[in-house]
Parts: sequence; structure tokens; C-alpha cells
Amino acid sequence: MNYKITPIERMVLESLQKRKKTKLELLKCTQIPAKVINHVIMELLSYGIIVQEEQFLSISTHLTSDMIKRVQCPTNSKIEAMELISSCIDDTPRDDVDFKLKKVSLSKSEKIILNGLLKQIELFFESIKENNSNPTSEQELIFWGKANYGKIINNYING
Amino acid sequence: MKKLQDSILRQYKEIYPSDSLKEISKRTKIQITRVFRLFNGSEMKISEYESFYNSVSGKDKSHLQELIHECETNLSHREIRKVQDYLSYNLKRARLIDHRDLYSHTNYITA
Repeated sequence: MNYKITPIERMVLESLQKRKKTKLELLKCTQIPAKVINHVIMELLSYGIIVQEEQFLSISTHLTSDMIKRVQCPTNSKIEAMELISSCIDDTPRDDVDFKLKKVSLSKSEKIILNGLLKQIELFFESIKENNSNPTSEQELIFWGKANYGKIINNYING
Repeated sequence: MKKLQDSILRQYKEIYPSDSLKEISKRTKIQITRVFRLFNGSEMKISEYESFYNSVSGKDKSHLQELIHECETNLSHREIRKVQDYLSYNLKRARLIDHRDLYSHTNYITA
């Protein structure tokens, strides 16, 4: 059975991936409320996904390949994407969130331009140097992509 | 009992957020002054808990149970798995963000 990893746990793991941390450092890095982070730490410790040595928490280096598969399963990635995007598309308008969805008919040349722009976005992110000293909570969540409307609806119909 | 009381009162306020004390009293059949005291910390009797429980369980839970039954009857196995996954994730999320101190015996962050 897959290990169901919530976005909260994933954020904690991403923070620990940069370097091992004390609980207080984790709290400051993620800005997750203390009671919640306590629960998350206990959950991850109980499954051996993280370990504690003295006051430091870190990702276990002894995870079995089976456990890695359970954590990294495609369902977890899908759920994470859905949960995060769903949180962005909240009912209430928010100043800190910018989400746009467009349905548009494009000519051949317009599609080429769009593909070029999307490629530029990808190259831009590839060129960014990862800054591990910045808190995980201050990272920006960026989503982009495109799909054929008809194909998506077909997928939706076919479940 | 305190944790059960807090939980049922929270559930009630989630389902009927705009109920006045008078409306709560009417729905639960508990005297209005007693309702006020319950929401302000007085310990709930079992009979009062049952009244609140019946008020909340009638509205949301039977609808959920109906939906689950319909899903079982009408959805494909793959779709049922999706629903199960969704419910499991939500349950796990609720457990992780539970406001109660589930691990109060451990000396963790108190900030």
C-alpha cells in the first residue's frame, strides 16, 4: 500500500532535504504551526522516513527501495499537485495568489509562439541557482502548462 | 469528555455557523441559558452530548453515507479507488492538523 504523503509532510521533507535541522529550525523554515509540525514529525518518524540524532532531524539514509517507491508513487505527486492548485483556486480572492486559466483557439503560428514562450519559462527555471539558505516557506509556487481541451474532457469522461 | 465536548460543539458551529443561542436551544432542545454555559466551558452531560450529536449527524453524515453508497453502486473500480484515495488523504490531513495535542506526552516544540 502506498504511503499517503500530504503537502505538509512533503514541505517538511523538502526542508530537511536541504540540510538536517532541529525542530525549531524546521518550524522557522516551514512556518507550519507548532502543533501540526509535531504531528508531522511523529508521523514521519514512526514510518522511519526521517530520523532523529540528538536534536537534529534528517531524512533517513536507510529507506528501503520499497518504502521509497511507496512515498514517491505517482498518486502522491498527483494529489500534491491537485491539493496545492486547489488551495490557489480558493473561493475568496487573495492578493498573494495569481492563478489564470484560459481556453483559447490558436492558429499554427500562435501555437509556435506559445510553445516558444513556455520553453523560455522552462529555461528560466533551469537557470536559477537553488538557494538552500532561504526558508522553504518563502519559495514561490509556479505552475504552467497547456493541454488540448478536447483530450482533457475525453480523459475526464473516461475517468 | 472535554475533548468530545469541544469536538461536538466545533462540528455544530461548522454545520450551523449562524445559529443563535435561541436557535441552538430550539434544535437541541436544551435550555438557552444552559446552551450559553456549555459554549462557555461548563461540562456537558451525556444527554446534552447526545442532543448535539443528533443535531449534527442528521445533516451531513447521512448525505455522505448516501453518496458513498451511490459511488459503490455506480462507479468503476478505478473511480472508487480515486474516491478512497481522496477520502484517505483528507482523513490524514485532518489527523495531522488536529488541534488537540495528540502527542502531549512528548516534549516537542511548544512555540
